[in-house]
Amino acid sequence: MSHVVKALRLSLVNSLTSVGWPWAILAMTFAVNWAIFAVLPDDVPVPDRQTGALASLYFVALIANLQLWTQGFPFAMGLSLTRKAYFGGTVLMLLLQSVVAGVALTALSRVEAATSGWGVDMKFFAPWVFDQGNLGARFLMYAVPFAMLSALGMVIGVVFKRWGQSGVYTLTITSLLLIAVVTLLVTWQDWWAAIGRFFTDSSFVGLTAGYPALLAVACASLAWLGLRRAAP
Amino acid sequence: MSVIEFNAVSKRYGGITALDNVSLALGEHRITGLLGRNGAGKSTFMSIATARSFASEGRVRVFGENPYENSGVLDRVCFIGENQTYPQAHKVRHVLDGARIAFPLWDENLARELVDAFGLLTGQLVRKLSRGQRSAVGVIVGLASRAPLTFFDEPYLGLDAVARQLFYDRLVADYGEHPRTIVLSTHLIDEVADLIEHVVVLDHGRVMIDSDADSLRGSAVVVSGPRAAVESFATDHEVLQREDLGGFARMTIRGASADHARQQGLTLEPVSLQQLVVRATTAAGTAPDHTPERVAS
Repeated sequence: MSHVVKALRLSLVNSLTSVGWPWAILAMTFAVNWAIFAVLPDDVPVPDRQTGALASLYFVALIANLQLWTQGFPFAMGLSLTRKAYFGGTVLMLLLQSVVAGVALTALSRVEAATSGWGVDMKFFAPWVFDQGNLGARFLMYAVPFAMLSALGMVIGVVFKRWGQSGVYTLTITSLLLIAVVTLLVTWQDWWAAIGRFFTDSSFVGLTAGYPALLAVACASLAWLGLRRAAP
Repeated sequence: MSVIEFNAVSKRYGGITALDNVSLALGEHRITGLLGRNGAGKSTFMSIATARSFASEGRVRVFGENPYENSGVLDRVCFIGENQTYPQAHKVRHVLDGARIAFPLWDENLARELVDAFGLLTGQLVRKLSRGQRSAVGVIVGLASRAPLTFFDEPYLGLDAVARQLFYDRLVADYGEHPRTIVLSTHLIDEVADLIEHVVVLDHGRVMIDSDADSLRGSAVVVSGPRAAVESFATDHEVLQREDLGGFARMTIRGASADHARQQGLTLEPVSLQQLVVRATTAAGTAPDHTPERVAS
């Protein structure tokens, strides 16, 4: 455990850049969106005053985690850490970041509701269907997808470290092919209605937290398998 | 006690055999020079010893244990490689902060002193440093880590002569106060000749020389004088290299007695470590422009 903590401390050495970027980007996105909403004419009805810009936080988190692996892993190995310790430390960091994201975004979504959309009727933190559930469900809705995308970043980072650029291309092409095959299969078998039912029948928490949690665990496991024989 | 033990270790990837049945035991509290040409397998040897990469065959022991994923071993190991990369946004001080966290025996005062000695600023971004300055960062981490087993793989790429001398001086001084096992790979053999106590020469993934530096230095001499006298002196010995010039001859001879040569009025010169290594690694006929038996007509 002490080595996992060591790895965590190591990845926090320059934390402003490793952890801060997603939030800095989010702050900028928020400012830009707020400015746009502030100048929107009043005849845009309140239900239309929504934005999906929060997604930027999640995608920057993915990239930040990817870099953590491509750049942080060689550095950690250069300082004689084991792969196990590095993996443990990184997962711990990912979980901490997800918890922080969950708490912060839940709080911000409550502020948004209390200030009637930051004074400009903007639904930024809880747009569309996401504006539901109690505090616990909201926390999970924000935190778990954050962990999932970060874990996805981990997988890509590990693939890059272990198999290089061609590995990432292979991963991308294989994933796209897989999606295409599944789509064709679903269309051919007329399963779209069933898939639609799956989404309407599943609980909100299941969709926003349950399945993403499974995916996050799957991604982290894949990352570990790849990492075991990776060289810096 | 052997700190590093390689038992019939081979490493193959693609069609390349980077290490070919290497068996080596490196003793504690010594500075070992790991020498050899480009692609000889020096870096592969070190990256397997530090569990950064894996042997295809054979048994590797460091401090008596398998180093792979072994934090008990790796906590005592520091590897400084010329191709070490650092996170893009890291400044010099972040690297030092990381090393302080990672190495249990880290000496902060020594690190600060070395930062000043090498003229670095801790606020500089590592990726903006010159090649030599980046090497200096590695050297500082390697020395201040005080790791019981420290590897320096070509640690001073781009460092100027003054900075290299500074590295040698600091290494010897700190090694004297805090004995540890150091493995130093380098091409600048003459520069480190006085520093290293044990010599390992690799060539094409095989161990060519594994010897105490002093006995290696004494193992061969250059004898010169009238051709007949040199030839008669050389008859009982192994001739490593020969040059003829008119009636004079100059031969590098293994296992010759210096006194005996002087009695016969021959001139003796010591052979430098670099020359020995050049001979050991070219004898296999790998470099046609350095044939060992060169005869001037």
